[in-house]
Amino acid sequence: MKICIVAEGSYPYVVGGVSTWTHNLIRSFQEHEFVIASILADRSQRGKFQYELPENVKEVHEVYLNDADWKSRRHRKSRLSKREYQALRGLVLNQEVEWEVIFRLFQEKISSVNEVLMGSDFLNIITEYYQLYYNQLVFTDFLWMMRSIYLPLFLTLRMQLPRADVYHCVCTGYAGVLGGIGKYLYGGKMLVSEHGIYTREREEELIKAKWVKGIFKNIWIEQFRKMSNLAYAKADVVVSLFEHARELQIEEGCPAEKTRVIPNGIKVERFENLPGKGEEDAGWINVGAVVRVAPVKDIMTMIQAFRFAKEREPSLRLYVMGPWEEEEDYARECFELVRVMNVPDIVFTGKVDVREYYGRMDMMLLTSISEGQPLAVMESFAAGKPVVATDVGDCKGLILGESDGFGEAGIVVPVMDVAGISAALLRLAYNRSERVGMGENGYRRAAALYRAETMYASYRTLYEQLGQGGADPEKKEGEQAWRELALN
Amino acid sequence: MAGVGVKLKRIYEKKSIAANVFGIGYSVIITIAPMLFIVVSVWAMENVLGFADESYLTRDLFSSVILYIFIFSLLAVHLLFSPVLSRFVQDAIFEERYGDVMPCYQIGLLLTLLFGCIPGALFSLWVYAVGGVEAGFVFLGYCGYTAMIFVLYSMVYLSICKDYERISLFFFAGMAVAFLLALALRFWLHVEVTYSLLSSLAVGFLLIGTLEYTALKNYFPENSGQYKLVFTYCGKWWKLMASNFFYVLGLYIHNFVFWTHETGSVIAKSFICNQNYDVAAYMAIFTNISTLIIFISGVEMNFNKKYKTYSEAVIGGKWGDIEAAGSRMFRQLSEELINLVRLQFIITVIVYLLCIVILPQLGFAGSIMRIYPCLAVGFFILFIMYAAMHFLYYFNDFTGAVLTAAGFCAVTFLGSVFSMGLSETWYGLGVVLGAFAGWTLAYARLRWVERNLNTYIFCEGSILRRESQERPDSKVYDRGSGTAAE
Repeated sequence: MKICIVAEGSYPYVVGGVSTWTHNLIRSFQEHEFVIASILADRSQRGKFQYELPENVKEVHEVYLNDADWKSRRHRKSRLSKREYQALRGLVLNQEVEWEVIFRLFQEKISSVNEVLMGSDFLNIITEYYQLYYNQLVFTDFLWMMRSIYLPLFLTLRMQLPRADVYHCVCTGYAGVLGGIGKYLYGGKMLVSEHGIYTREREEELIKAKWVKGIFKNIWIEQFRKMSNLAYAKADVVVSLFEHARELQIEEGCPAEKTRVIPNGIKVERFENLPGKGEEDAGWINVGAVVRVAPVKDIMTMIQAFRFAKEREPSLRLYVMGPWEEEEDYARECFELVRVMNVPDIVFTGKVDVREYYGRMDMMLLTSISEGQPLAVMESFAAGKPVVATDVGDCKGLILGESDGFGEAGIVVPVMDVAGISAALLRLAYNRSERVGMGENGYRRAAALYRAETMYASYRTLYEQLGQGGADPEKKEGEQAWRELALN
Repeated sequence: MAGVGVKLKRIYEKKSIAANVFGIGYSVIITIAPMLFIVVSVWAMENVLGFADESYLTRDLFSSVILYIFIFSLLAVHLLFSPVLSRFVQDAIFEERYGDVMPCYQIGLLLTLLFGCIPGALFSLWVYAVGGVEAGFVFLGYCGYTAMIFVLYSMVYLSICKDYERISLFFFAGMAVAFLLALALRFWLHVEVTYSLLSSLAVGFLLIGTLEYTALKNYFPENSGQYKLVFTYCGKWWKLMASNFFYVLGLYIHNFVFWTHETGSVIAKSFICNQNYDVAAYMAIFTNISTLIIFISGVEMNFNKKYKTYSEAVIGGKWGDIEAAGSRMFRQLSEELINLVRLQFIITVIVYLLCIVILPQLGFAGSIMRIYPCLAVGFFILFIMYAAMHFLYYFNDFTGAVLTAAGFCAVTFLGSVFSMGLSETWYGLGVVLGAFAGWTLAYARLRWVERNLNTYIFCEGSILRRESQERPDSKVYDRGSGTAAE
């Protein structure tokens, strides 16, 4: 079976939880052939893989959210038909969208995204939208903002997607749009695995963003919601990592019957019997953070909280284990903060083999402002380490357990709560027996509930189910839809 | 002539008879004073030097040389490059890239001289070899022609700097020197009349050109050395070049057609002209030239204000403001055109009557006066067509401008060929038909722009960087073929 993994800003270009999950998933299904369709910001990232691609990855395709207007073989400058106009209008005006018409328009007719965005049809639609809802704004600003909102979507809609039996999108958003196109073009099945809730994550980012202001934040959020709804509507199965995420998906408009929960899993045995503390750790209480140095991980809060804890317990030492090159500006700010606050004993290791470090840690720390079901927490459990984590994603479920009887495996603190995080670190630092007990609880939980084998078995079943009703060139869903359109 | 209207507005704001007289005087200075200085000085030189005593053939030859110098230097400067170079300089000044002006001037001068001087040199050789005209006389004529190209070319740049008074002053100085030099050559050095006239005119033109160049050097002392930039403009603004080409060609094409008419004359087997038709045409231009002043004043005083309001609404207004400002702007445009037609009609009728009554007493009669009325009507429509075309430039509708100018030029040509077969009264029919065709096209296009204004304004440009290649394959890695992007 040929599976197309559709990733957005992750595999194989960015090192992180979703990427690692994808990498491991591919490696676990040697019997299947994989192609990757990856959505990137621009061509500067072209071909810069951060992972060694497994043998069963046959092709990698890229689409860029910011690209050039390339010369096209389709020279005709055709105006939109009435139906196409209505479909585009429906998309912009948040009405019912005839996605098949949109797919056909961009895949088969449009020769240039620039032509659509700068064309009179798009102008008319935006003018109507403006007059209906935003007629007190400066029109030119509104028009250009709408063009910039639709630019990445239209570029995505033009992507030449590879043929596959199953389109496995590792999030909704633009990846969901590509999944929908794959289904339309080749009749493949579509599977969505959401690690976080895409719409909610984008919403959080936008609320904090400085590059977009006022009412335009709402329009951007609406745009992401539209794309997620497309993914939910077109997907055959929508997977979430934990129950609360599933509830959120349903709340966001995903039909309940499509949803199912498949928690993350790790190879627990890889983290068992790791080397423990050595001579250099004598007298130290080591805190580990397996994270990328990135704003979403809120390393600033981590540094400040550690500083307060360090003032009270000088034997504390923090290891930040993860790459910092991806968000270089942010990383520099973090290093500067450490220097300005004069916080000793913080070590940024960069990208390392975390198994060499886990055993030496006394506790693990995660201060993210957004997470799905972090693998780092499970790995910590497998290594028998308690975790202090912010209350995001499924951290609470992982640490406190969902009535599984294993007990608490760490401490959950509010997001950005410097005092709370600091207090939690000190509590575990001062109380060795509690620390060890929590580590054991975590190990038992990971060993019982979050094994990679369980997860892969679930996905194997899913792939098989989807594959059985897989791509049939004679029965393409998109083609059927197109035939219906033509008959009408 | 941008900026003229603003100055006129300031003059007329005083609302006194003196202000009105001053306003008229100012308008004259900026439009026809340079031409008047040349005409008066040539007339004065001819009278003082005793040109009338020369043989008929010599006088005809001299007149033809002067006619050719003016017509073909105007064509050499304005037919191809001047609009694009003007655009470049205006943009450079707006963007405060003052150092780019002189490279543009130099490149433009080189191109214009090449474009004008090579055919000019070939023609001069022809005049010498075939026409049997003395080498010295041909050489002086050629020098005058080249100097005139230099004058008109530099004038384009000074006009952009709105230094009209100085242009008039330079023409006055140049022609005064030419007059004095002609006297010295004739009466002190006893040079022949036509040689004195031609050489002093050539020196006078060269002096005007040099003064203009010096003024420009004072304006733009820096030179960025960015010569290639100018060529990019030729590609970018080819429609502007084309529209201007057809418009300028259309202005003269009817003359060229009538030069081949049986009433035309050939002097020294080289200089073809049709004196009656040419004089009638210049009278018709003179009758209607005020259209330009009325139009420019009206546009800059009234329309420009509405255009600015509309532009401001586009930049920072709500949709309702943009719509309202757009409607007001087009109402003003219609009003300007109607006012122009009304006022120019009155002026043309008065000047026409004066011409009909006075000119025969000055010796302009017979054939000239029979050709003149139709041409006067033709130029009346032609200048109104120019006004409409000017509005098209305002809205960056260069396609419309090209259509207008090409239509005008083609119909004028065909109409003139056709009217050659008619009686003298209808010789100007070609210009009438051509101008009317051009006006119709321009007006229809203006209405089209009005209907599609929003598309025009908001759908211009590009949101993406354009690439001339086809989109690269989305596949960056293929295990089968062992290829990878990096």
